[in-house]
Amino acid sequence: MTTPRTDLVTALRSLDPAHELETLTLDPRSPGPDAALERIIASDPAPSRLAGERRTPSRRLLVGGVIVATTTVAAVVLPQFYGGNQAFATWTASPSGLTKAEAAETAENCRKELLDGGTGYSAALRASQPALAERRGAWSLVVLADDGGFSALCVRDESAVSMGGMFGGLGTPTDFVTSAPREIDATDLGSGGIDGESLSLAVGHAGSEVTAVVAHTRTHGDVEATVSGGRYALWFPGDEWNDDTARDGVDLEVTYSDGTSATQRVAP
Amino acid sequence: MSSPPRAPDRETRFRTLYAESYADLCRFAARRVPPSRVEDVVADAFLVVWRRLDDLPADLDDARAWLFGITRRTILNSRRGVARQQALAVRLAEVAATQHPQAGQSWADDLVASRLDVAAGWQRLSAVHQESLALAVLDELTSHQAARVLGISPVAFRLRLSRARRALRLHVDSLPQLAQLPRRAALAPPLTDRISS
Repeated sequence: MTTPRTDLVTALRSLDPAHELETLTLDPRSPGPDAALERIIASDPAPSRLAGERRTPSRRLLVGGVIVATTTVAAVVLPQFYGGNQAFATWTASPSGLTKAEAAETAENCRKELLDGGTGYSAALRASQPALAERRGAWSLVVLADDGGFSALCVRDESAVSMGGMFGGLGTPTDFVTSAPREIDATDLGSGGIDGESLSLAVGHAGSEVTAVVAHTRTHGDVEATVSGGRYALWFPGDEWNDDTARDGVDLEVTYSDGTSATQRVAP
Repeated sequence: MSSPPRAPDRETRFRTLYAESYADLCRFAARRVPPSRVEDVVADAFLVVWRRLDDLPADLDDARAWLFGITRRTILNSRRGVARQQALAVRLAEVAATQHPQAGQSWADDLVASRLDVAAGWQRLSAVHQESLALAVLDELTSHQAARVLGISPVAFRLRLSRARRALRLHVDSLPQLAQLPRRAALAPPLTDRISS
C-alpha cells in the first residue's frame, strides 16, 4: 500500500492542468480573445435565451426529455415554441425536401441560433457546412457538419411567429470513424421535450450502400428517414424513445443499394 | 427604427471585467475541458456575462463565483447525456511515472510519489467528488463561493467536500505499489460531452 508522504492538497495543486496553459492563451489582449471581446460587445446585449443560467421556469419545461447521443454532442433547446400542438399536427411520417435556398436559410438560422446560444463549439459551428435538410409539415430539420465528425442538428417549427422555436444538439465524437458501407450509427437518439410536447428522433451517419432507413414505431407506424450525403435523420412526435425505452437502442430497418434490407440496432 | 444607444458605462464595465477575469476563467475552463476548447468555452461564457452584466455581484469574490457558475453551466450545456445537469468531471495534468522514488529519497521525490498516487486516485473519484475538490483546492473558492457555483447550500457543499476528501484519501491509500502503475499515471478521462435535453 502506498501512502502519500506529502499532503494531498500539495500534490493535487501540482497537478493543476491550468499550469499547462501558455501565457499567450491567458492574455485577453492576444488576437483571439481580443477578437472575441469585440464580437461579444457588437452583439445584442439582450438577455440570453440559452446557456449560462436559465432563469425562466418555462424554459426548463422545454428541457424535459432525454436525448442520448452516441457522440460528443450538446443538446440545445430554445424556447418560444409558438406552434405547439398545431405544428405537431402537420408532421408527416415521410419527409419532403427543402429547396436549395430553403436549406441554406435553414442551415444559417441553425448556425446562428446555436452560436447565439453559447455552446462551446463556436469555431466548429462557423466552419461546418449543411449536410442534410428535410421538411415534415411545418417542421424543418437540418444537420450541419464537417469532415472531422462534428455535427450540429436543428429541428425547428417553421410556423413559429419568430425565431427561437428550435430543438437541437451539436458536438464531436470522441472516437469518430466513418461508417462501413452497410452500417448506420446514431449521433442523436432518444426523446426531448419542447413546451410540454415531446419528440423522438434518430440522426446519424449512414454507410455508402444505405439507401433507406425506416423506424417501425408503435405510436406513428412506419417513419421514413431522409438519407442523404452519408447521413440519415428521422423524428416523430411523442416520447416513444424515452430514456427507458431507448437506453438499449432502437431497431431501424435499413435498405441497401442492392435491394436487400436488414434490421440494425442503433444505440446511444 | 434604430436601436437605443448603448450605455458607455456598460461597455466599459464589461471590458474591464473581461480584462481582469479572462485568465481566471481560462484556468477554470482548462480544468474541465480539453485545451483546444478553452478559448471557445470562455468566449461563450463571456457572451452570457455580457447579456447578464446587470446581475454581476458587486463583491469581487462573489463576482468570481458568479463567473465560474456561468462558465460551468456553459460547459454543461455543451454536453449531452443523462449527466448534463449533474457534476462536471475535472481533469488533472499528466504526470510521468518513470521516476519511482526509493526509500529515503528527498521531499521532491515524495511529491512525485504523491502526484502519481493522487493522479491515480483522482480517476477513481466520482465527478461530484472531483468537482467539489477542484472548486476548493484548484479554483480556491470558499465553501460559500463554491456552493454558489454549484447552486447548492454551503452546508451541502461542505458535506460533499468532506466526503470527497475522504474518498480521495481512501482511493490513494488503497492503490497498488507504484511499480504496478502504468508508465503514464492515470488521468481523469476527457469529458464525454454528453448531455440530455
